[in-house]
Amino acid sequence: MRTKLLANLFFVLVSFLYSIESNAEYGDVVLNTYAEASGMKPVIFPHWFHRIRFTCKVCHSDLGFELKAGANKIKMIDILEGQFCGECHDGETAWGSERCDLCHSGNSEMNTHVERSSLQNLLNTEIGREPKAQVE
Amino acid sequence: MSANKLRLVFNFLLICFALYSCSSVPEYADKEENSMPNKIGKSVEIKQQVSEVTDGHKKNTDSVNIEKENQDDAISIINTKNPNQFNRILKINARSKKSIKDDGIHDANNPGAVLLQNPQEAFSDLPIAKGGNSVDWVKAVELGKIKPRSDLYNPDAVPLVMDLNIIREVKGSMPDVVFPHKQHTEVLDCTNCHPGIFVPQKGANNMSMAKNLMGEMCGVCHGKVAFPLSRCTSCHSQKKAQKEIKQTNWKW
Ligand code: HEC
Ligand code: HEC
Ligand code: HEC
Ligand code: HEC
Ligand code: HEC
Ligand code: HEC
Repeated sequence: MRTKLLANLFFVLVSFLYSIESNAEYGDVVLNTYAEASGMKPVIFPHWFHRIRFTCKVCHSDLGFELKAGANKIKMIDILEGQFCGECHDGETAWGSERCDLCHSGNSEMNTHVERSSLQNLLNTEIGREPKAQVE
Repeated sequence: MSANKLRLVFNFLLICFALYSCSSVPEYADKEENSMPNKIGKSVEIKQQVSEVTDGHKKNTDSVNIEKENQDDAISIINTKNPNQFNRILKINARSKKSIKDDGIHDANNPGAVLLQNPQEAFSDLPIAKGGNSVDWVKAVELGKIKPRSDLYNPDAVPLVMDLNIIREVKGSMPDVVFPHKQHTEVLDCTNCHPGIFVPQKGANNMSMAKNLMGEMCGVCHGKVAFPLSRCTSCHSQKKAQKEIKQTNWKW
């Protein structure tokens, strides 16, 4: 009986660890504090894409985004009024907020989190997933 | 149905799920078709082995290019499999497989998904580094490959850079940590770190690797967006002072 229970636990653990695995890009932020509860798909914010165009300071100091996923309590009405993503996604600096599907592009049932963090990697023991450094 | 039977069914489903999930880990060579979404995938692998023979360790540096080269090069299908290739089982190819549609977090049925850019396309010209985005972001800016704006509206604004290295002595045998203000102030504001994360005084903050891993101190950014914690030597970059290495005087 005991061993059966342990085996059960083990499988639950294994399936849990693997179920959070994904090939998403490092630093992608899934935003789903309100979206799915209001019938929209979760939002995916790609850090890699934005950091090619802006330094961290622009968003995290000038625009005031907190350095914590979910800490900013972003509401759609604020975006439409030109705050948060809406400061840039206004149809002038970047495409406007009427393009719902470009932001609300996530799979259902994900929590607000940042993808592939070092802690997540450690729990997954994804050794060997990383590419070799460039030899020059 | 009895409780026992129910449990059995539940177990079975769990095992199936676990096995199914395991099968989606594509970084090993025996899962060729997963990691190379390319019709002539075979030729890609072989070409890679050939290039490895000619330039030793220098292989795998740019799998994207290799893939492109092979699109019209079907001749290399001739079997030249090298039994002594450097990595026989490990497949180091982090940039080859990622596509927005099957990355696990994007909804493939979303009509907007085709418009989004694949990271591999954006990264193809950027210097490679280990882990994270597999991009050396500092070098990418230095080389002028990317020019991130430090002001939303003024593309020519220059950040206020401060060149001050802080050396943190580390307990144990790891090399000491060098914190460079220069690379950080190029992309961040003083207020991003001071005083919220760090008191601006040398040695005033109680740092440890455990805190970093739990997302405090350096771990607020490193391990989430900036290069990950797995790149130990980028932070632990200064050898311990000579006096700390205990010398035992053996006389034979
Ligand atoms: C620039 C990106 C972006 C675009 C474009 C966008 N949204 Fe959002 N939306 C967000 C973010 C970010 C959130 C907050 C997600 C969260 O934390 O749940 C959000 C949340 C929401 C929410 C739930 C929160 C609330 O305020 O009720 C709804 C509903 C919503 N969006 C609808 C829309 C619709 C409809 C469109 C198209 C007209 C749209 N969004 C376009 C980024 C965007
Ligand atoms: C275009 C705007 C933008 C830029 C540029 C940007 N970020 Fe972010 N960042 C965000 C948003 C939006 C979030 C999510 C905030 C939320 O969920 O409330 C975020 C979240 C974060 C988090 C929190 C992750 C977590 O869950 O703990 C960190 C750390 C972070 N960013 C670091 C950086 C660093 C380092 C850079 C520069 C290389 C950077 N960001 C550049 C917009 C940006
Ligand atoms: C500092 C300005 C800025 C902020 C803030 C910002 N973006 Fe963007 N974003 C851009 C720019 C510029 C582009 C490129 C626009 C274009 O291609 O015309 C972009 C593109 C995107 C894309 C498309 C990426 C691709 O593959 O083409 C997504 C998705 C996106 N942003 C989501 C968001 C979300 C979600 C937020 C808020 C959490 C946000 N952005 C906040 C500037 C910003
Ligand atoms: C990425 C985070 C970060 C940023 C951005 C940053 N600092 Fe620091 N700063 C640190 C850390 C870490 C220390 C070392 C603290 C310690 O040793 O406990 C430090 C230490 C200092 C010290 C103390 C030096 C000494 O010898 O005692 C000063 C002064 C300082 N910072 C000023 C600045 C100024 C001015 C800026 C903006 C131009 C800035 N910092 C930006 C992280 C940062
Ligand atoms: C507020 C976010 C933030 C914090 C906190 C932070 N860093 Fe960084 N750090 C960055 C960013 C962004 C870069 C640019 C390189 C990248 O993103 O990969 C960087 C780069 C570096 C580099 C230079 C790498 C190179 O290639 O030259 C070192 C070294 C470094 N960090 C060490 C540290 C240490 C040690 C701490 C803690 C005392 C720390 N950082 C805290 C954001 C941060
Ligand atoms: C982002 C920078 C950074 C990276 C990457 C990093 N470390 Fe550290 N490490 C630190 C800092 C900061 C300390 C604390 C130094 C101090 O005591 O002031 C530390 C301390 C340590 C210590 C001493 C024990 C402790 O917790 O204080 C060990 C051992 C260590 N690191 C090992 C590693 C290993 C192994 C890796 C790679 C897997 C690594 N570190 C990657 C910044 C880093």
